[in-house]
Amino acid sequence: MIRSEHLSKVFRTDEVETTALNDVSFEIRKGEFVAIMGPSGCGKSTLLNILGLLDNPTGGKYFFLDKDVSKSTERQRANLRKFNIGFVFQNFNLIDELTVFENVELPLIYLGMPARERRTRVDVVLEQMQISHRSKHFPLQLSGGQQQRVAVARAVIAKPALILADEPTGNLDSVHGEEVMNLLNDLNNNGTTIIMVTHSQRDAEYSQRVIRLFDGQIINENIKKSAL
Amino acid sequence: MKHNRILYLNYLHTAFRKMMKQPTYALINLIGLTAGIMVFLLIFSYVVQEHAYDRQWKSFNQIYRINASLNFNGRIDHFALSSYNVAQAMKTDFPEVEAATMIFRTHFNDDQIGITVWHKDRMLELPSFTYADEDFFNVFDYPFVEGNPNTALVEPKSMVLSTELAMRFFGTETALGKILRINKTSFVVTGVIDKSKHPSHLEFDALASMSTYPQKSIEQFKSDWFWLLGYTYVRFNNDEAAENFGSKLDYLVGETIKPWIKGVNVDGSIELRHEAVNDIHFNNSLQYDSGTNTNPSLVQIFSFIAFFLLMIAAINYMNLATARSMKHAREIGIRKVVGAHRSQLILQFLGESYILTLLAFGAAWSLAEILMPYFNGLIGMDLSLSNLIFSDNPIPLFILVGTIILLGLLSGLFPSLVLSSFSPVVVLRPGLASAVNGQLRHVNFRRALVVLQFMISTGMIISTLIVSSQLRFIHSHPKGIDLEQVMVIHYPADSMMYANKEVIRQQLLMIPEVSHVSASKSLPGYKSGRLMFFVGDTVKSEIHTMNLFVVDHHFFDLLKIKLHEGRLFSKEFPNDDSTAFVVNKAAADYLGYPNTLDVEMNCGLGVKGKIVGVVENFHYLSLHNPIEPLVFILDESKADYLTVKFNSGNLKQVIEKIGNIWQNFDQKHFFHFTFLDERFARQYKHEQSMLSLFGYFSLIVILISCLGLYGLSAFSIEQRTREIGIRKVLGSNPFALLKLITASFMILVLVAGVLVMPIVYFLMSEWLSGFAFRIDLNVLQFLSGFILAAVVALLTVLIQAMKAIRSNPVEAIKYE
Repeated sequence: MIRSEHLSKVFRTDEVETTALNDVSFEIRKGEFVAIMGPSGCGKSTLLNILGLLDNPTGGKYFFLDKDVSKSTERQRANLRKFNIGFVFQNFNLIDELTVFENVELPLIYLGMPARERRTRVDVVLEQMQISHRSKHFPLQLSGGQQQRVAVARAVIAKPALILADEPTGNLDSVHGEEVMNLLNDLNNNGTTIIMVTHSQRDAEYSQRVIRLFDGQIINENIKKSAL
Repeated sequence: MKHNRILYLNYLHTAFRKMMKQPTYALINLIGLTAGIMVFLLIFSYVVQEHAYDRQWKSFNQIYRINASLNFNGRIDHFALSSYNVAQAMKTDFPEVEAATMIFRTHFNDDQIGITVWHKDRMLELPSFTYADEDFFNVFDYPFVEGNPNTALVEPKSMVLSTELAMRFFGTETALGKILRINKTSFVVTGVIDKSKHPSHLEFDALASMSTYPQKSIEQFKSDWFWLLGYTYVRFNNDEAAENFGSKLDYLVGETIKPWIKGVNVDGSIELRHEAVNDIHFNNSLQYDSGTNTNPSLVQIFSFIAFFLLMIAAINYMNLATARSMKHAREIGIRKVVGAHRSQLILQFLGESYILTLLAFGAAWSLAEILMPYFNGLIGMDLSLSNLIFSDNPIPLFILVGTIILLGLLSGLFPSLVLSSFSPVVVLRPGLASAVNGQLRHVNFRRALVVLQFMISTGMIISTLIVSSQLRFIHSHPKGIDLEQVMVIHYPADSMMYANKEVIRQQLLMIPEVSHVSASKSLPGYKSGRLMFFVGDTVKSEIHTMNLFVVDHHFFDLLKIKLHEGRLFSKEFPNDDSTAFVVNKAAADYLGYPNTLDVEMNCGLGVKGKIVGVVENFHYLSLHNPIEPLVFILDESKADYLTVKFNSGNLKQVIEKIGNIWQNFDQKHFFHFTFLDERFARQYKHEQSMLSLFGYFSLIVILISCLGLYGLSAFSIEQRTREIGIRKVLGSNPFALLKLITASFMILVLVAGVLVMPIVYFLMSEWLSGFAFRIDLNVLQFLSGFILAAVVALLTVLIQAMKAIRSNPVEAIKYE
């Protein structure tokens, strides 16, 4: 599903050149749950941004659904994103001015889905995430755990093949963190590919494979037994 | 399509909730835009009205007025008038002229004093009327409510009324056939016309048929090509005729008028020009032109003000929207992540600016509707907003809609381009503020906009100060005469008042407060006639045209006009009315004879003799004009005005006493009076309304600019909260912090001041050059205007800065 060949990403400012990713190659198959780990500043988020088509690599190739997308335009990337990828962020990133329902509905609006279908779909997913009783509330009226459940609901609403999670439990206590990890696990069990950046060894336990990054390079790939 | 609709709905939702969440910000924008649009609406309806003059005639681009210029002795006078013969020539000699008409200059209307009219035993007041020939309605196609345009002005003693007048005189009854008596002539109403849809330079409430004049008078009119007794209009039968008509007029002058001039042995010449009827309203260069004519630069100045105000309001929106992009950044990132295209985001933010623009427009319209009566009062017009939408002319509506579209675009485009360019990778990272700041590369652009705003507001404040000191100067400038507490009563044309003039005078003088009474045909501040004079001494003799005042013995005394040399008119010299001239100092200088008192003069009014006295110069015209040469002759047999000078006392009682005496002699006319100083001041009504409007608009401009500055400084301080907190923790004192925060804004205000001053200097010098007597521009006016703007700006920023300084530094540091 995902294949990267010698990916690199260099950030340039006037005086400094920082290599965030250096010769990163790997492959992720459909239905996998992969965790990316590493210390702060090792390039995890940069990698996730490229995998999520939010950013282009400086060098190397990136194949998404067997297509080389490393040089695609903003518009092409936006189209691929909205049909195929869901995002979950550490700080939830919900729109404060929209209700829970509207936040979850947003990707479907950009997909152009008719209103009735949207309503049904959002209701089902909110039910799944056990947050439907809060559908008319605004994000700031919810607890962190509830906000992240809304974020997960938004990530899965368009039934994407791939979910990218950037420290999904980073802002949550252990109880709520576990809830979210269980949600992601359930999604993976239903066939969704999940790539998760995390600091937490405990969260990484949910994955089938861990890619460890250090200074922009892969230093080791652990494939866990359960995946074999 | 449906997809888009859903998206738009979503944008609408977000926009409204954002406004609710940040009401201060929304209010700043809303108030700014509302004030800007409101002023725009007021000024726009004024500009539309000014441009509507004489454009409603079916073939307005074929209608022209024939203007004559007279040249005597090298002095050229341009008149809006022409002679009776010119009108007759237009009717008969030119195949391209479809119709030609003449209306008389019987009533100038600038006195704004009505004529008394009788219907049966009812005494009515007719504001103004004049005579027109039977072809008038062939040129000016006023819609007839009653009567027939082809015959209405054919018969002698016919009169056509405006609908307002007919309503006032006869109510809902038919006006046609009713008899109206003016002086001793009874007119039959032969038509009622609707003037309301035809704004025009033509000023009349009623028209009488020119055939009312006896044939003897007509023959007199025909005898003189120099006698400019009315306005001649032609309607061509095609659009191109006007192009070559100038040469045809020259031909008429060369072939017909020149030989006549030669025949009557006058050293002068005449020139005829044709002027498009829709240009008349903006032409101020002709003498005896319509009192409704306006100064085109006034219209331009106000158009600029309207445009600037809209700009300033739009700039506020731009500045605030980009300054607070930090608040938007996350939303943009999220929308992009879930699949929004940049174009969709641009539309979203443009949509927000349009929503606000439309809300502001609604509010502005209501406010303008409320303020319109006051605005009308200020500019002395009768405007209405509904004219913008419901007139036959669709152009104002197009401009209105176009302005809203442009305003929304101007406000929203730049922010939406900036905001939609944010990369989700950057803005969704924790540590948002610094990340967004990194993306805001347009800080300089925003500064430039603030500078532009303050250039406009500082410029307007300085201009207001200058206009106001010029007007103060005009009013306080010594005029060389005493206009205070002088009542002017207008003699009705037919009354027995002249006959009783001396008795009335004596009775008036018996009122203890009354000190002088005089009857004259001329007064300062009123239009005076010009006349040809044959001037000479033993050495040379020549023709000069000079202004003429026809006065009585008491005139100089009443106005306290000082004698320079010689003597005034005196009863000791019983032949003064046929042999003596008094001139002003300017005339003496103009004529340039070594001894003015030796000079012989002769004029067409039966006075032939010597200059017996020279009076000191005084302002008999507005201070726009230099003091021109003026000749006085004595004629006690005729007078238009009775002037009564009284000492301080109970004004109301004095007026009542004078009125009682007047009406003892005349119950057939309304008692009309005015005050000479007010009449004189009315010559500056354009400047006076300009000053009031400048004042109000400057207030609004500075209000909008400061609203913007308030919002902008709030956001700037918010961005610097951490910096301020750290400085505080490190021990910076509050004063230094205040300086730090305010300095960055005050520099912009200073730059704006420096940039705008030369522009104001140039524009105001231009404006002042329209006055023969004017103030000098000085540094003080510029500095005080600038300081005023700067202080208001400083206060605005200080309010925000104080808040930041009072905040707890601990809060600031843990921010983010």
